[in-house]
Amino acid sequence: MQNDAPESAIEQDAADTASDLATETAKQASGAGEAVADKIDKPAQQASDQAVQLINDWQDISLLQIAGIAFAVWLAIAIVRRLLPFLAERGPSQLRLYLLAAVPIIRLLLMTLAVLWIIPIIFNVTFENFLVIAGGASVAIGFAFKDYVSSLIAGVVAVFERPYRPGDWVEINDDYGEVQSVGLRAIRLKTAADDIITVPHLVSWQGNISNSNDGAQTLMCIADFYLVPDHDASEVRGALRDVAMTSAYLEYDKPVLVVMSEKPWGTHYQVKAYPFDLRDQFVFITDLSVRGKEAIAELGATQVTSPYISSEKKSSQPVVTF
Amino acid sequence: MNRSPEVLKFQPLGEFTLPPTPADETIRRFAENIWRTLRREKEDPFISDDSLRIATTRKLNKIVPPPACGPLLAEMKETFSDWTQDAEPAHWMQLVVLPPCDHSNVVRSWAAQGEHIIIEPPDRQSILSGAANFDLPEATGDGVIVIPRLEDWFIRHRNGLKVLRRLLDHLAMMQRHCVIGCNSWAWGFFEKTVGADLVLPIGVTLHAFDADRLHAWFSHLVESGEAEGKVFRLNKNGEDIFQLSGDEGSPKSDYLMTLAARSLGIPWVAWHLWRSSLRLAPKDNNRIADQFPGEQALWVAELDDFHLPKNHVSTALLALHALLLHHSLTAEELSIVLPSVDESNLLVALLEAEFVERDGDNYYCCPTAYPTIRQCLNDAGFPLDRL
Repeated sequence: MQNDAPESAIEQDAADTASDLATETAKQASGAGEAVADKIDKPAQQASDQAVQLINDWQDISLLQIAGIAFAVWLAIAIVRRLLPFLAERGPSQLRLYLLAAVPIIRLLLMTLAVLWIIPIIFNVTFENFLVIAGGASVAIGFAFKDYVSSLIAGVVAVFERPYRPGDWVEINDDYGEVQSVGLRAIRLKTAADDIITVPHLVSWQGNISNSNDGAQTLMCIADFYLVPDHDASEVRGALRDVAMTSAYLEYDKPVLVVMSEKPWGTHYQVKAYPFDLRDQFVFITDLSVRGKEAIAELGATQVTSPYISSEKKSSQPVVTF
Repeated sequence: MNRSPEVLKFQPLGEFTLPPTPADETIRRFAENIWRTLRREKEDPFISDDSLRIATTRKLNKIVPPPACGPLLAEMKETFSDWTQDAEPAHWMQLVVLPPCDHSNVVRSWAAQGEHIIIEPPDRQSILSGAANFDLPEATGDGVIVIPRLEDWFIRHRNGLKVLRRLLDHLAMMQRHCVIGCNSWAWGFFEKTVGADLVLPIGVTLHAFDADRLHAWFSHLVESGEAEGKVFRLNKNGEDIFQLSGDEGSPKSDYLMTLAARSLGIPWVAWHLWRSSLRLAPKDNNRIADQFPGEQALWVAELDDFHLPKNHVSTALLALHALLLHHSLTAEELSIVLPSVDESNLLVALLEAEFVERDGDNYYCCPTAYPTIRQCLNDAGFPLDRL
């Protein structure tokens, strides 16, 4: 029994030592694991927290500052939209189109400035948040505001591509008029009949736009004359050229052309010339037409008209039935 | 007061340089245009314009005698003296393009002085009807043929260019000296409509009248007129406009520089503007007597600004442009060349506003209003003259 006691004491010591070592090792292993886990989890946790915080804390958002920026930009745009057209109409005609064309560019710059200024005040700008917002916006745009946003983007493109500028005379979908303003979503045309037509920018991606002056101070005007073929064509051509040359509205630096073509129903003359101010285009064409008719009559030529059939005559025509 | 005037030769067309405007005048006019509607008060002048007396035309003719063309006759003589003597010149024709509103008719006066053959134009009614006949001298021969105003040979109508074309055809065949005068507005029109630049050589024109040239001319005029010995003082500050900064320096006052710029370097415009600003001193004015004892002064008021009436501006400009092209027109002729026929009172309004003046049945643009008219036509986009 005595021999057994010391053996068991030694065994006990060895067991205790082994147990201590195991505990210590476990503790060390546990400490190292926690440190590694901490290293891995903290940034993820922070990123997760930031991603959750899409909008800044309410107490950090200065509504007064936002309102101030929005008001200042709105005021600046309102001033630009009124002042530049005012100056354009009263200043030298050479500056008119430049001043009018500057309105949408200045407005776009001001609005971009305002948006870039306001976004960091409201939103917590991170890459993750950008992805979140972009994703949400894509869904909303895709389903609800597709055409509207498309028009907005087309409007921005139009500012730089310039298929039309304020002051230009354009034809869009059979509507011919002067571009009064280029808005964010649409342009406003004023026709010769004083109608205002609103055309979304989207049409510039879907259809043709005919711009008569493309930013120039003048545009080609055409006066048409239709004559019975039995006349001295060279005399008429010369007379019509002099009619254009002696118009009070003529721009000297542009050519005057008289184009003639034979049609089955008569001779078609086109007098092509430019007025010095594109706003005079209708009075210019009227002037050419009035004095052209006088010249044609003086030369003994006759203008043709299309055969006129009254509605009564039409209805009295026999109806053939089978 | 007077410096020995230098007789210049005319320069080629296209080299006319506008005299510079004094910086303060530019700023003043800019500010005045902006604040005109606010009726800003001006500084008190040395002597107010209201207290000065406006001189009658008769009195003005004695103080600043006509003609309004100044030394141009001498310059034209100098320009063409060698050419007229040359039996085989390089060019048989000479074109003289002058600014508009030349009521003294420089080319005709030069022709009359040199006893050259003057070709008279047919009247405008016959030009219009196509019945106009004109006789030109033989295509070869001695003597100089002169057409003082080419603009008298047309009317801006589809039938009004035929006579001009015939005349140019005849002139192209000429083998003798021929001088053709034309105003700068009409010349631009003829280049476009009848290709006159293809027939006639490159024209010559005057040198702009800057402050120095105006000083030399006006001081000579004053010495030769009734105002010899009198001093011309500005009513706003009492400055003598002819006083030089040194013996041979520039004028001390910037009045002549302002006048040169305002008149666009055109002598007759400057002459008329200067005459229109001359005033007689009020009687028994103590301030003048104290400041300038024993001196006889004539007072020069500030140059007037002309403003077109706000209504009917576009129609008025069409009429003024037509008058500049033709030099003069009757009311009936004006109605023929203008597109609008419903402005029967327009000429009366322009007469009252002193944009237009009348001589018998003929209407002309006023030389004093010409700078304003030109500026308004430029602002409205009209094709301008080119000197």
